[in-house]
Amino acid sequence: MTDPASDGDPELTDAQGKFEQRIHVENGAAYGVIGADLHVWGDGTPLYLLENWRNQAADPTCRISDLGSLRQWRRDNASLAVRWLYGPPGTGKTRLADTLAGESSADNWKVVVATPGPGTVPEGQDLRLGKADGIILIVDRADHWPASYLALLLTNALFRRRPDGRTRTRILLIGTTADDWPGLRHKLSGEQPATSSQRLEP
Amino acid sequence: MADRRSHLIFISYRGSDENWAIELVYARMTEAFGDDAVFKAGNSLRFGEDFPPILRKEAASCPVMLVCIGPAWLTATAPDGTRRLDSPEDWVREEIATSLQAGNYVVPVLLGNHNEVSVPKPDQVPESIRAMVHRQAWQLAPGRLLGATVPMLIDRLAELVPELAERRRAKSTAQPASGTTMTQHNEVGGNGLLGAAQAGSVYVNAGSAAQSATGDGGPARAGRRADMPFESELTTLAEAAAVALVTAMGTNAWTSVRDAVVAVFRRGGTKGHDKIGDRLDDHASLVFDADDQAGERAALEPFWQLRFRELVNAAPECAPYLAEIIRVRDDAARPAAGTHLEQHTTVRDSGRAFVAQGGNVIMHGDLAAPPSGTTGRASTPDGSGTETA
Repeated sequence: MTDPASDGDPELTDAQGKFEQRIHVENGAAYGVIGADLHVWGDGTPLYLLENWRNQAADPTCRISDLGSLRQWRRDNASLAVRWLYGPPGTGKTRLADTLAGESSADNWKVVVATPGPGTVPEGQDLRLGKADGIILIVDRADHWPASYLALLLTNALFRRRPDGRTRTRILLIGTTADDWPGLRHKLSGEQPATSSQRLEP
Repeated sequence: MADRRSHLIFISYRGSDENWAIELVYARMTEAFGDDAVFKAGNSLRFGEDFPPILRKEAASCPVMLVCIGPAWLTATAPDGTRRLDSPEDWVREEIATSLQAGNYVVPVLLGNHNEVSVPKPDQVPESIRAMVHRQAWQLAPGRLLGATVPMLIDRLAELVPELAERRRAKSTAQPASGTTMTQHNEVGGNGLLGAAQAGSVYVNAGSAAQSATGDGGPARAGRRADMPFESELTTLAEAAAVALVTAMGTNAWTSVRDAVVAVFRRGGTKGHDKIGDRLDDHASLVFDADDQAGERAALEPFWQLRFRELVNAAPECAPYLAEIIRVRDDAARPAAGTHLEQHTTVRDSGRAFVAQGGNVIMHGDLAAPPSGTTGRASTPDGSGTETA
């Protein structure tokens, strides 16, 4: 949702034409996206918020072997892959994900972050793939998400494949334990993603 | 805009009333008859315009007035505590009186369930608008029936006013050309909630909150809601896939959407799946040949919703492929290259807006009984909006 009295004004052109979304908030709140679905409760709470990943201080020295595994996962040929990354608090999961996000962004991947609602994001978010080679969605604290939200998330237009079928989609779910993973993996089986889990040792 | 065609439908409403439904009415009317057919003060007046003479002129000249009456319509009070309707300066009262005097069709549109809202009694309204209570009313209750009651209202209005039928025909055959600018204006205020999509759709999934309240009782771990049971997701998907399917009928998205639907039924392997292709072709030709394509689509939608629900009940593993149908439709329905899409949204008075371009807005929850006193509403589907060259 945008802050009161702010203007969200993304304007971009791509092969499908020019999209222009202007949001003017005098008093209240707004959340706008381009190229994605929004799920909203009747009381005005978003089920989840999507926003473009913002540049964080990457730490390429962090957990080299774990990072290597994630790099390999991203490079893999599967068109859709879902990974559950888990470990106790303080093991550097978020930092690891941020590092992967930074590298991916530099390699022309679209990186999007999903958080459960209610919450705020800076302004209207342009989430179209454009000419990106693929998309990575990072879901932090995924074990705090109801599994049904995660299943709904996967139907989002965000993951609409390009007509050439080349777009690769990676979904990185981050949790402290793997307790929720088997159930979710079962729910996802219809999508036939390549699923995997990765544990970070303390 | 100086030489714009005259409006035909005047939407009368109270800003403090059922905003979701008022926006829904406005969105569906403009979708069916075109933006220039519908007058609604919040959308049609421009900044700085002297509104009293415009309101009086439009109220008198529009052959139809839809008086949107929600539960708060009758009892709304001014800041000084007096009932708005009792004030001679109440604009709602004045515009209705003007329309009645001009001999127009004044249709009370009751927004809510039967136990929440009804036509006012004659002694509850001022003399100047008393004739309205004897006019045939139309009820729009939240929930799945909206998919039938709104199209029926549109049909009745087209029967009532021949010029509306003409506008509807012209609207349904107009196709945006390359190089066209499609503009959508959205506005929300009065603590209301707005969902709007351009090059996408707004879906209302009214059943999910009611189901979560009585659902599997799982722990609420995200926000303050219980986990939505999987059952309601399937219903959401079945509804959304049915909408995607029927909106593709009679358009150039049809072939790819048809193939995706045949594939999902084949995958499910349920009884009669081999006849789905024939049924789809029959229905597509019904829409193709219909004078009223939107009405035909609305009539076919429940049929496909039921088929999809049966399919996912029998073969839950097919559910993700329903989402694929929506994706295929969205891909095929993308605006032509060179199209310029503009979406303008203004939020005032503690309103909240959820807007998407090139995506959908899916509203969940029981719109009849929101927990916080605000209500959900949906407006302005598929790229509708003012078209300028």
